[in-house]
Amino acid sequence: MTPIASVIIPTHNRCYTLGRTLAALEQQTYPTQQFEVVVVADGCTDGTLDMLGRYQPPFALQALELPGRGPAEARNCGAAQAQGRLLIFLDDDVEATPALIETHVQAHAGAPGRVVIGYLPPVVQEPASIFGLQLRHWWEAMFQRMRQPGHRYGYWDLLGGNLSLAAELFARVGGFDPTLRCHEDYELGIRLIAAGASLTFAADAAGYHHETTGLDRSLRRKYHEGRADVIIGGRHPALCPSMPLAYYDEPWSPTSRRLRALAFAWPIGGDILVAGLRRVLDLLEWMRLHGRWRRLLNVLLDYWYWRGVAEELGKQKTSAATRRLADFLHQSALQHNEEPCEIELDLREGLEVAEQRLDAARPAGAAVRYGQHVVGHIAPKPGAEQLRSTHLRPILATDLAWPLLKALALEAVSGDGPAWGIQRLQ
Amino acid sequence: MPTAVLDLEFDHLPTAITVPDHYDRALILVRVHGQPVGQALLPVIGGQLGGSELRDRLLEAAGWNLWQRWLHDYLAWEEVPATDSPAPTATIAICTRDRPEDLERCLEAVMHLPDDGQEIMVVDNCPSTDATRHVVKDCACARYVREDRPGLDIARNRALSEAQHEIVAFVDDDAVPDPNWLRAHLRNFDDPTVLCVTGLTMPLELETEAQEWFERFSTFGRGFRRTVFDANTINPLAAGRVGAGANMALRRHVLELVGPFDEALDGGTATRSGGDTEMFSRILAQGYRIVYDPAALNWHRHRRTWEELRRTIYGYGVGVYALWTRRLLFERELTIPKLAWGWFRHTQLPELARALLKRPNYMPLDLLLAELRGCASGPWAYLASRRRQRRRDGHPLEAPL
Repeated sequence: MTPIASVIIPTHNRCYTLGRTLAALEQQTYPTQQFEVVVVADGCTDGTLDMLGRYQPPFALQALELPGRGPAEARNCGAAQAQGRLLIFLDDDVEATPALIETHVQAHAGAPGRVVIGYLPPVVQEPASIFGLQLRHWWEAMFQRMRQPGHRYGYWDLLGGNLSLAAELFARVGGFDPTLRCHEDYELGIRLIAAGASLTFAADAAGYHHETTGLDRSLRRKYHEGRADVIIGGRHPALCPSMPLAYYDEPWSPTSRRLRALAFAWPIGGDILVAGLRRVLDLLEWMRLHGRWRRLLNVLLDYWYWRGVAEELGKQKTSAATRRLADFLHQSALQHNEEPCEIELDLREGLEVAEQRLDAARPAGAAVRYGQHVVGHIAPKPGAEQLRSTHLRPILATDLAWPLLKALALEAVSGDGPAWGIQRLQ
Repeated sequence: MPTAVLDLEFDHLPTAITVPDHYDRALILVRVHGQPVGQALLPVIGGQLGGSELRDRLLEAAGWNLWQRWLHDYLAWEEVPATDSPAPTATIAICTRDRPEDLERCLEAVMHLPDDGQEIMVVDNCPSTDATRHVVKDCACARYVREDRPGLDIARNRALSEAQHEIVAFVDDDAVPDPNWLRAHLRNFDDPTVLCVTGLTMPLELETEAQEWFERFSTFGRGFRRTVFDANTINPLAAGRVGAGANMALRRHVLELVGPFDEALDGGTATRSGGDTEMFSRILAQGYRIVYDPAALNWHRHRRTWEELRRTIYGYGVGVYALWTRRLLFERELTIPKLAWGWFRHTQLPELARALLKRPNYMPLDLLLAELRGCASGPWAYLASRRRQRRRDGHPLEAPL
């Protein structure tokens, strides 16, 4: 019997956590005959394959081996061998709750072209350290944003650790980009959104994320993010404005400004200086100076991001130092000159009518007015999904609240707006 | 000069309001479609209040909040979105000690809340008579729990461990919750990182000078805007801003996640207050969130006599310094002295100078001095209370770090 869903787990030398991940999949509410698990052991030297060979799970299991090609290629390889119509990508440090597979499968029922992002409640190693707090806060804040009904998804919401989509859609957009070692999930998100896929969040498809990232690893990761952004920006020039690399000239402190310059001009000196500042972080934590700690961490993360950007740009043979960044951004602006689709919405026709028009047109942006009065502009957002009906009311209630009230007040002269005290708005 | 306390719906303002003759001012809570949006203090002339001016004054006082509320209704949009997941059920906990009349009024209001399956629990803390037990017995749906060790924080911990439901909403025995109080609390728990929700507390009456000064000196109200606090937006050591224990709801889970209330703090012990703020501060420091939601409204009867007021203010001073002592000595928070100096330099000292020079709107000198005296005795009170608690519970004494 062909399984309906395939759970694909890329892993690299994490035999112990993989065991926990597999054990959690034995406890699923979804029938074990209807899903299979594909583990892709990528460059494992810790006996992962032996463990898999001895393991006798209640579900169908495929164990594949790769010689250390990185998570993107490992996932592609797993997807190519998967039998199911639905692919569920799960990281090897995610411990699924019993409803995970069932929720993913149900979320796709009757909704082709959907991409479901599962909830990853973080389990942090040192929850009491400032870094542990920060890390958990970062994860939870991201999921909390997605939990809002009118959230406008962007490629930055696509997390590869607990994700499901139809095998056909995955193949159609071409899978993960194996040349990326970082942010390969974001890059897939870009192509999925361009292909018209709709992203949704499923809080019940939860898997505990046993987060092992420490402070130093997260600094190193920032360096790789910088490099990845240059590659992704080169491939999708229209998205450069949605990445930090477009804002070199807008550091939020003078220290940052100098360190950014150092990352381009004299990286060796920068690295030594930043290694010293890294020690200061420990001192600040010991002194419980949380605010200063947080500010310094941001400076360090910022440095490593730009260090990565500089490194990646340095590979491209052009003129010197920061010139390269300017050229890069200039070229991406030139390559991208198509006008995004925008429509006009008149709220006097009723909010429901406006929402229907958004669903029908799915524009990138919209000019909003109420009768003759201009309310404002919902700007196209590079990398975000096209506007849908559910986006309208949250935007009107927050970003456009004041101009909308004014328009309503002006309209109230003819008896339509708020009944009381209108004149005071002026 | 007593102040009438009124509760008005903006869409249905009466043309004229008559209040008893002895009031010369009115404190008005303004609501739009049931949601509190602001308050206004207006003069009362000959027991009359109203006319066209009333509308304008209320509009002015509530300002942007009122417009925003109206807009949200027009858009049928809620700041706290309704989600598919069912709202959690709650246990309402009333911690009380020898105040049967107040408790009766509180229970009366609690029983009239819409029934969403909540449990009502009265924790009777170290009672000297049977009066409280009888009050609870008369009210069939409330559960009576007796806690013999004196201390508000001990009673709170007991409530958390005895509660049947996931959320425990605390209301003071001298407060009266608004009909929407519990639902407003519960809607904020959708975010799993929210461990605590605090609400708006308005004065139930402002009949005496002591009550009016309490409202001015240390109001429970924290404004009319919903706010989400976490350690990135507020210093956990100054957590008093997020609300007060007279109107708060906690996830019962808080016991495992950040630990119980500090039993050496708050009413019934030498430290007199500070237990709620200490809990808020710990929740924030551990990376969780607290939401202040003015829609979770209750009405608090402030102490009536001047002597009680002075004692309360003294107790607040003791409580703040007691909690800072805990942080400094037992948790090595080295920034405490700076914080204490900042409070003294920028708030207490200027207030004192204004009172001595009798500048406009100055605070009564004896209240300011009571607060300062409280601050001075806070550290010793905490150490004494901690020692007493350790001895009673049979723990070995623990030396400060």
